[in-house]
Amino acid sequence: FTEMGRQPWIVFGLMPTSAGVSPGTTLTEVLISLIGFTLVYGFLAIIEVRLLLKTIHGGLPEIPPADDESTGAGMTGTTETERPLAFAY
Amino acid sequence: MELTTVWFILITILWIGYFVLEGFDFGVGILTRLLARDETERRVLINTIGPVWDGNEVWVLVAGGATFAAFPEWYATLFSGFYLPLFLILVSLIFRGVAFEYRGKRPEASWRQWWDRAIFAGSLVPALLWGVAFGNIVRGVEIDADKEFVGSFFDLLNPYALLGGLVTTSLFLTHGAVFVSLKTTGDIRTRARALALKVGLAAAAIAVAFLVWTYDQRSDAPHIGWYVALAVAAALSLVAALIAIRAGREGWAFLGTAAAIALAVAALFVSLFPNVMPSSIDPAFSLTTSNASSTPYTLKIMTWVAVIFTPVVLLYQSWTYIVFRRRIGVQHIPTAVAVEPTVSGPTR
Repeated sequence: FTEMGRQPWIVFGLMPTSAGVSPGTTLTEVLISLIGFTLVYGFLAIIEVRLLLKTIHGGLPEIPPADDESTGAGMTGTTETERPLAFAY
Repeated sequence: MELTTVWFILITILWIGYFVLEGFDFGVGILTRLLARDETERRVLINTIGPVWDGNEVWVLVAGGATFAAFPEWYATLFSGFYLPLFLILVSLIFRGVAFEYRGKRPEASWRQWWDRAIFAGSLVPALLWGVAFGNIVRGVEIDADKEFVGSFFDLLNPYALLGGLVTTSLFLTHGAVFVSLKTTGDIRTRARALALKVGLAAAAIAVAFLVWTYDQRSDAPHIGWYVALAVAAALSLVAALIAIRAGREGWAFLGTAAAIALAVAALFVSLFPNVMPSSIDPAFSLTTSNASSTPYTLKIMTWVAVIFTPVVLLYQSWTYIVFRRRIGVQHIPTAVAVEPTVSGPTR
């Protein structure tokens, strides 16, 4: 809407939109990118919303018992450098 | 020194930073398919670049932004002329970035396979297309008297530029394999070394052929002597890197591949100077540092901003690398999926 309200200026009062058009870029190219980006972002938006819903429906994870890692057999022979990453991709 | 020359050098440095840094994470992205034997190993590879790939990518935004502000005519001709290739690069980078974040969000194997494809293609396509783009810039494209690109998309797919694409792909793959050997432990480290040597030999042959062909393309350039010196230094650095990886000196090898990429990018920019985009129609139509630049006042403001903020950026980016400096092995990969809930909800 900011783009629509600004028309017919690309820089308000200084440069009309018609002066900002790239002469070398064809209509086909602009169409390909417009449709392409719309599809990409639409596709990713659907995935994102579905992941959000899945996480919400999954509820909060249980908090692991505090002494799970700091005591017991897991500690012996396990130095800090050998422990699994706290966050991993 | 004129400010236009300063900004030409700064933009060269930004592209060097981009290719040296994102080069290895593109390489690792491609290697997720070539080197990893199972899901855990694939996750080891992804986690070597996990904390740094997005910071690496910012370099290209700054390079593009600096070109926009310092050389608007260069930016306009380049981004309009290379419209579709740059669109493809952007789409690849979007899917690749999302893939790193999304692949662990669901436990199904098919879900991960799709995002693994996105990581592979999203790393391979930009690695290839950046080389094609730079090949075309150095070779010269059809630019008319109005500083407009008048060629077509298919003109960009000439043999010289395509060889440039092979150079970046093979160099980034070598750089990535060396990075993996530097950042992992165990079996995958040994295999990364062996692969780095194998791909590196191919990369060296392709890169030397490209650099010689570039000499042929730009032999009348004003600074061709400097080009030759930098190109030879780039080739020697790559050879030194391969000798180092063979000897198991991974740190030196990484320094070598980084230097090879940096020197090769520097050589290409030197071969252009003072042109920024040579015209293949008439040398008089070429874009140069003077006819494509902003006003001196704009450049003065930009120089002050760069002088103040560049050290800050370099400091915090180095900090990321220091924090995440440890090697990763299969033993460090937690078995649980990141967000696998332990309590299942009612509507799953």
